Amino acid sequence: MTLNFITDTDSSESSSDGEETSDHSSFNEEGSLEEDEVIDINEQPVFDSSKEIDYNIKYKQAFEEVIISNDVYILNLDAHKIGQSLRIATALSNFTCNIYDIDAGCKSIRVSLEHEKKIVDVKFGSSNTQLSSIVYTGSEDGTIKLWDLRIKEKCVSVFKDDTDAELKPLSCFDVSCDGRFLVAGTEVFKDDAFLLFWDIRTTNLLGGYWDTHQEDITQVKFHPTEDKTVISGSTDGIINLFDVTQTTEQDAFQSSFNTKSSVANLRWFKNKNEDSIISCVTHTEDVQLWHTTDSSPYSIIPRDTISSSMNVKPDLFSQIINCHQTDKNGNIMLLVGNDNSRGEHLQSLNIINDGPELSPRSLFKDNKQIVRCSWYDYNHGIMVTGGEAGILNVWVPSDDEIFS
Amino acid sequence: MSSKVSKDTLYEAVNVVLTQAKVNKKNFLQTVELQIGLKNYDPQKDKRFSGTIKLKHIPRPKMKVCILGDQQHCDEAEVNKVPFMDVEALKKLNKNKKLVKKLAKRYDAFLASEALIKQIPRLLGPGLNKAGKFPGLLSHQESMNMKIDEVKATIKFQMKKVLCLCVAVGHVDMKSDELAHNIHLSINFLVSLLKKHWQNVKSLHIKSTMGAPQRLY
Repeated sequence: MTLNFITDTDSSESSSDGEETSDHSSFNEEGSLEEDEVIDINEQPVFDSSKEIDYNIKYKQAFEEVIISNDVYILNLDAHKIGQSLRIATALSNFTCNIYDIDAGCKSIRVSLEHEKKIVDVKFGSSNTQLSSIVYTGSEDGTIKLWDLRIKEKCVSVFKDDTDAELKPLSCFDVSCDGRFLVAGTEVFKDDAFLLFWDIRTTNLLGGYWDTHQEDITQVKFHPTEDKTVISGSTDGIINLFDVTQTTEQDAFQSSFNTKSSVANLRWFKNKNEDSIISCVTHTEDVQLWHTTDSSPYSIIPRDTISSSMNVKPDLFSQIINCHQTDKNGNIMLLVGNDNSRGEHLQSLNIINDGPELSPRSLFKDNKQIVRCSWYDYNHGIMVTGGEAGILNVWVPSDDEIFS
Repeated sequence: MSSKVSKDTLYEAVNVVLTQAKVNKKNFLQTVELQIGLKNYDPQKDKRFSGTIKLKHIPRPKMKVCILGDQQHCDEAEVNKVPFMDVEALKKLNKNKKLVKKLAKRYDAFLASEALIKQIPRLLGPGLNKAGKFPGLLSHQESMNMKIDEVKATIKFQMKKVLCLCVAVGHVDMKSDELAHNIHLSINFLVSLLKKHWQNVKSLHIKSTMGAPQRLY
């Protein structure tokens, strides 16, 4: 049980060292156990009362649902507001997806949708043309499934790329705004990372790109209003922009944005001049904002700035959960958390004047977990969060009567 | 968040690595890498562990950076004896996949002037992207040499499916202070990204290309 990373070149020289390392290893096993305990005892509340401020918008918890089985994370979610009720789809780490209907505090679990491997994302049908009764789930098992909630637990269509003997492990997907096309990104599969396109009506694979990323594709997003524009992001740090009406990858490939990091999350926004903005959260917990016409981000919000803008004690690090649009003018907020203790501290920050300046927006009191995914509706101020304790929460402004 | 590696332990290991390399001299510059073993981490559920770190002392001085420049940057590159290419040179590659691949192979990284960086998809196609070498931006407000040093000082780390990670943090011709500084910076940065911080770290080693691993934690 030694952890000895000896590369092939030196295995002959270091056999004696190997033994020594193994001794150290067993010794350190015990040592580290003690350290773990010490850390637990020393855990302090993270909230810094000296930084107590008035949050712009006060929130209360309107709904809480805990998944019973242990150690199940809610990794992704999507939601859809229909009149007074809220429909939520959650992708869980146990390869299933739950659908909830929440109406004035009453919930009903509709169905549980399954895959053979991890579900990488879940989305309701585009609201323009499709009813919220359509759900898409994409998975590492290589398929995107389309479910019709009107027909109980019925998988209506399966989208896959079966041009190889094996299916390619999907890592993200998106639906075009008119609800006609699907795009998925894959992990590196036999040296290539793929973007794959399907026609939703026929389920036919329309084609793919595999020459524009070196590493796993982590995000792919259709433009919210232009069907022809798609962006993809990867752990190779590059965001690519495509015009998918072109027939070849070379011609479709329009621009690249070098984040010099690793892309975790991409979203589209529109600013008040109707310009398209891309927000990028990196795996090193920084945020970048890009105009699609520029060659460098117009704003970089480093982790240090975010951490110090949070109402927590110094030396604690922030974790970015998501970027959300807060109004019609395209103002953006960050939903941020903190790993300390059980990750209870959850708050949002407004990006001021294009950043990097941030100001506290809302505190989500009584949060009980490290939050991993969120959905926000700026018309009603509703926030939905899911996370590592398997808890699903709905938050509403505290003066709101709905769901109370 | 305090470091669990004491200064003494760090310097001891650094000195052993550097001394070993002096005794068993090789005919190339050995890299020193930091190896991290993780625990209580589930790659299926936990966040990806991937990104870049900018170090203070350049870990790979022999890295070759090529400037894809406008006139002004090309002139500057010529004076600085930095390899460069202008628009005309890029046009000559004619989007030819093999030629672009060859160009990507010849250098470790690229920097491009603003006017050129936007034209790269049109001029070269996706070849540089495929090689993971799409250029960074070189603006006229920045010093070319400083920007090149920044590229050389920035290292990438990425954990795949196995619970260990190796990053090149230096080389054996560095002073022990420089190497120790880079290692210290890398450890603190990487640990800060882990959910349970030090409770996710199973082991830390440093090792030169041909030397034996030295345990830090």
